[in-house]
Amino acid sequence: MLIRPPKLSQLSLIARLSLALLILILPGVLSLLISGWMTNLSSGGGEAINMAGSLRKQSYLIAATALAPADPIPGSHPNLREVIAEFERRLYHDSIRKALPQDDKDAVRIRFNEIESRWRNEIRPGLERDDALYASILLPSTHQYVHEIDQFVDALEQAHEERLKLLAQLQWISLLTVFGVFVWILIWAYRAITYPLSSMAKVANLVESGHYAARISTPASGEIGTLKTALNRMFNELENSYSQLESRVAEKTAELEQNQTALQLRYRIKALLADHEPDQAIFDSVLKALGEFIPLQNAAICLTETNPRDIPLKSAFKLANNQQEGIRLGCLEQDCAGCLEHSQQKQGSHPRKELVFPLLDSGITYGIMPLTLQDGITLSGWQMQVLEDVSHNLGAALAGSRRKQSLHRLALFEERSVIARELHDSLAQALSYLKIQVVRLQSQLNDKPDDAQATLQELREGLNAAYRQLRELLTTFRLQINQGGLNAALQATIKEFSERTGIQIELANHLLGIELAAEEEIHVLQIIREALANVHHHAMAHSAQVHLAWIGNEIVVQINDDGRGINPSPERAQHYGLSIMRDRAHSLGGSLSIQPGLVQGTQVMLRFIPSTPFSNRESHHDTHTPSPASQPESDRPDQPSFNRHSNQDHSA
Amino acid sequence: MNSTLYRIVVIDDHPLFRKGVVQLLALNPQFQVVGEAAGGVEGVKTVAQLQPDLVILDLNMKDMDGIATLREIKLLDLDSKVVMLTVSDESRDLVNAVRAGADGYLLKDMEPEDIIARLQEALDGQMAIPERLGRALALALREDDTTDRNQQISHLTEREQEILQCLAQGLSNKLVGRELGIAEGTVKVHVKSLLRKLNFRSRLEAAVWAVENGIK
Repeated sequence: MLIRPPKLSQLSLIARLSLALLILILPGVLSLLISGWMTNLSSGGGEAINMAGSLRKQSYLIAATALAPADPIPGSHPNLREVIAEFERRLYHDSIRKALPQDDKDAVRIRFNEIESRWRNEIRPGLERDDALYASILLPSTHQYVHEIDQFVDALEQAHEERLKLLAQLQWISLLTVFGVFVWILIWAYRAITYPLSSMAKVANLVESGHYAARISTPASGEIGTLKTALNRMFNELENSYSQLESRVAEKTAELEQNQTALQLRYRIKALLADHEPDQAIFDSVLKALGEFIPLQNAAICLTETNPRDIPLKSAFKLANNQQEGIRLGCLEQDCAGCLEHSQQKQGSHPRKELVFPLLDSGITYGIMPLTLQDGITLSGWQMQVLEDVSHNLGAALAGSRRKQSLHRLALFEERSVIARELHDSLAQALSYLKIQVVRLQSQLNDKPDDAQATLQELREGLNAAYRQLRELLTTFRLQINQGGLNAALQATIKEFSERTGIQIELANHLLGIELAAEEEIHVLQIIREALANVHHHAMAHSAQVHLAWIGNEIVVQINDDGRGINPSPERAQHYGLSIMRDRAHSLGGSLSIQPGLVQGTQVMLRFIPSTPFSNRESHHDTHTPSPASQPESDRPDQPSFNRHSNQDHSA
Repeated sequence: MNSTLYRIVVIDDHPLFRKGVVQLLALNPQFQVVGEAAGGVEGVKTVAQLQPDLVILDLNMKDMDGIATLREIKLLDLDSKVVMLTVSDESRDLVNAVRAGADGYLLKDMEPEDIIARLQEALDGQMAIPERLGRALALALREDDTTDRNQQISHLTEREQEILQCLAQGLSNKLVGRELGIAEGTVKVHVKSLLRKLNFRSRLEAAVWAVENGIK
């Protein structure tokens, strides 16, 4: 296994700090060692200088000894031999030998070699010879030799001095090195530790204040590098999670806004529908509110009496649309069933531009709400949800309105049946009682003249007529229009009359989708019944037609028969029924006309403007029913006279 | 035959009309009004006490209506015949009355002479229904489930079947007796038996049903 020495930058702080300290210590240690070594060297140096210096004294001693006369007292003078030995001992002393460098060219060595060779070759042999000649030159020679020794000592001293100088230099170098290393460590510590740390702190502060993109870019190594990497990683994570959080917050905010919008819309529509009976204005407001929230091109609310699928085409009415906004639905008017089917066929394939929402409540369809979206708009889920909710609300409102109406109807019929019972309890009994009295009177007057009998007969017939009228009234009051509405009641009436009278009666009701007030329904039904009763009693007809239609803003009811036609001045017996019919027409706020039919028979026509909310319709496009209204009123000379007639009847 | 005296109770909550009926009945010496009542509760008591031959009963009364009163009277199990005399010509009322066991159903606006005649018929055991209501009654009764009765008819004795045919012809008990050569009392017993077997509440209902089902 190969162990690579780690790079400096990869070393740990402690390792690097240890290294730095080591470098800091090393010069000191070195200088210490060198100083020791130097001291060791110099310690011999002083002795050598001393010894060399003593050589001069010894030289003079030799010279003096040699030249001195024989000592008067033996032993008081130094012996020459001893002095020479002493000189040699000193010359070859260890301290001098140690001080001598090995290098031959060194000055100390040269000087030493000179004095040593002179001693050995010249002075010592001269002394040993002990001749007088030599003795004569001994002193100057010694003097010269001493001079040479001086030079040697000088050289030694100089060498010593130089060594000391070197030591001082070394000390300086070591000091400088320590200082340099110190400075280097400081710089390094600043650059490798303080600066990265402070920049990290700066970045951390930045991140703290929300700048999540900030990163530590300062180069760092070792533990600081690890710290930097870790911190940067943490900041990355932070930025990531923060940005995620931000996007989630944005998402949630958008969702909340949607919800609020939807809630607002729902609330507005609820409020609209809660306050009033649903009518044209309310529907307009609802559609307008929808249009403000959802990009719609067209919108309409079409009311139908029952499930639009069951209604033959053209009988469902389009009663409300948002005309204020200039929005008009581009559908075939009155073709709601087709509209609904059309929209459902398209469903599923691609995003639809036209949507149809049924206005439902507990499974009963009260109408539909076709919408056309603006180009290129697709509705999101919540918008669809809102639309569905709105359609449910509308359905519920319509159902509520209808329920209210049927409650009203119920109350009305309750009241009527009370009246009927009271009539029965009072009048009918009294009339029967009178009839019995007439019979009694008749039996008592048995033998009396014919006049009296005739009067009695008259009385009897009058009573019978009164009773018949009472019975009609009772029937009227017992008449009920129940859940099935006017249409069902009409069909029942037609069936009843067909069976009872044998006259073929046709019913053509084009009022589907139009809700009449309960009183209006009763009046219409009664007028039809009365007219049919007249047909039965007087017209001798084979067939009759009952026609109801919505023309303009009026409801037109016609009863035609193929009988013998009406007498221009009907007999009194008929007046009663006719005036009741006229009264009813009057309470409807409409008019009633009775005139000869176009070909034969009689035509009874009732026209009135219904009081129900949907009556302020503006469209006049109804063409599928023959429109008697198109005939000018003035073309019927009999009508005004008829009216007068009825007025007279009233006053009578 | 004419010498028979019929005891009659009139139940009607309308005093004036009740008075008129009593006066009307007084025109015929065969009828003797033995009791009057102004309401159903009182009427039932009176009938129970007097056991008349004929009860003339109003339909709409305040305390207890005619149908309920009729049922109460039928529960007494008397020989009394009950004829409704009312204003209502609704077929529903008629059918209800017949189902509850009425022996006749007359309208107050009929000619008084006619009323007298019909009452007499009812006493003879015939149907006492104005013609214009007969058809409605037949229609309504036809809607009843008659399969049971068609099976039950085989359980009738020969004599009972003969009597049912006579009822369908509208014969009174007396005439039936004469036709079949038996006593009037025997006829009564047979009629009661066959009504029970076929679950009819009145001979009127039985007669209408027999006519409708082609038993002659």
